Amino acid sequence: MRTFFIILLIIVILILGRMSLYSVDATEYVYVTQLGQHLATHDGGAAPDGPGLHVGWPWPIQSVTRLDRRLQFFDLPGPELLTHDPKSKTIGVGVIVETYVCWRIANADAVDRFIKSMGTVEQATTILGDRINSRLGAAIGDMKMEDLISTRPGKEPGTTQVDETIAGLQKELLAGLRDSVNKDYGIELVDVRLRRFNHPEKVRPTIFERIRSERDKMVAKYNSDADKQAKRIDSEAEENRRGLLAKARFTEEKLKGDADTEAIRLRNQAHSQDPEFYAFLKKLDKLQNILGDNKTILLLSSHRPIFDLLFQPPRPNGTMNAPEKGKTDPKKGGGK
Amino acid sequence: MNRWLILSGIVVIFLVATAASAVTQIKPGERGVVRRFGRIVATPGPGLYIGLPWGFDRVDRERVSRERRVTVGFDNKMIEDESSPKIPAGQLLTGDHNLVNLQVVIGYTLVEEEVAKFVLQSDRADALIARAAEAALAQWNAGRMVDDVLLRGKRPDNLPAWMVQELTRSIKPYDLGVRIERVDVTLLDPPAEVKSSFPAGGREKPAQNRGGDLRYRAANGGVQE
Repeated sequence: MRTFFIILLIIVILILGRMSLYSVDATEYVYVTQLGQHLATHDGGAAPDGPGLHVGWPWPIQSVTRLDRRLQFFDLPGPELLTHDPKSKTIGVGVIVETYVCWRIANADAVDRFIKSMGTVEQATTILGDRINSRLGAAIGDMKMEDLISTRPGKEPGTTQVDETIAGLQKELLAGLRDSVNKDYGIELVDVRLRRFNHPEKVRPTIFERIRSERDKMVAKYNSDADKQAKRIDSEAEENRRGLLAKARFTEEKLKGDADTEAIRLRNQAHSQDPEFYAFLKKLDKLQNILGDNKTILLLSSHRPIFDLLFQPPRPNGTMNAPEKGKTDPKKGGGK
Repeated sequence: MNRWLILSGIVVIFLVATAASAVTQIKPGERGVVRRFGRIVATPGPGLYIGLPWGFDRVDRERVSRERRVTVGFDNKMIEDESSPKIPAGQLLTGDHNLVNLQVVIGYTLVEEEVAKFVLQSDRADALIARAAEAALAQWNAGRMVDDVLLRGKRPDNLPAWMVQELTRSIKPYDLGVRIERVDVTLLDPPAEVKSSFPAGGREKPAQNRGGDLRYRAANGGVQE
């Protein structure tokens, strides 16, 4: 019986000992209360005192609430927000804007405020979402669609007007809410960004139809421009061809003239140097003309002076050779 | 006798297992983050780390040299999936009120010195990077003409370079302990509903003929006069 009580006592001491110890992770704040009163807040990020093992009174004297000290984020579903039409001073185009929000509990001192005003991350998400949606709707309502969707360049080189609009919108949302949510809920609003923006679903068929129509118009215009350019290029090419041809013909005529002049000069020079040899060459030319053209049979009188070449070839001193004995004298007999 | 033997065996096994749980092998390219009762006490590099057994230490190992990838934007599967939103993610408005389907893959690595920051937020790092990337894509497209987006978006010095810069800037307050290494544009097309109105999907050159070529060049940025 005594042993039983000792074992029971040891078990109870162990359980109480375990209940008196709590650890604080690097990712969390631990909010400690004693009999319902806030006693301490341990910050897991504030080494060395914050994270690690801590000792306290066991429940129900002390209790701990753990809160994530890391960055939290959530998506805001995209409501259809209305833009402003400055010309008609009425409602402009509707736009679906989806945002995401990043926040965290501001610091260890803010945990108490957070616990009292929000309690849980889910509650914080709901309340923050409502407040941001309200601000966003107001901001978009003051904007034109062309501020959010535009091809205009920005003031800084390399930026666009959209970059500036979105940066301005983000700044406005953060500036309008950051101090307020910190003061009211102990929340540090880290970031609000437009994740997606698009036309409402109901107008999408119209948008697609407009895109098709615009592209068709552009294609028709480009085709027309391209045809004009093709014609212009063809015309220029033809003009170039004609110019080049005329130039080539002129060059051809000039070269031929120069060649003829040179030939005449050479002939004259040859004639003046050796008239008989010149006559011999001319006769060779004529013979070439007569005997050329693949003729197989040619009937001619051998009395023609042209055949002197055959019967009386020229001598080096310029005189013709006498016919050899036994050979036919062309002046006396016919021949083939 | 047998009972004591079994009990001793159980105790020995328990002690060996407890002792073994105190030893962690950190592989090459990895970095460990050791939390003792929640407090970060060490970030050991490759090798054998001997700490305290289970219940005391928790060791998370992360491959710091490995490039992690996050895919963001349009996915063709979304069109087939009826439960997907009616306006598909990654179908973005351009500055001239056209629409394009755009998907990018973001490559990031861990900053070795900040591995503890990553370990604490590793369950949300991809989601945060994806959201920041979506916001950057929407912004980039909304400021440019559709022809500019379709023709020049994939150039490494265009959207990818801008995205690396913009993402690095926008995730800085999140303190994730990561470095954006690259952004690859893996899909950039007009939506299926209007694709036929764009020359070859706005990307490829049509069949070679002079008129067609001129028309293509005209339709894709104009013919130089």
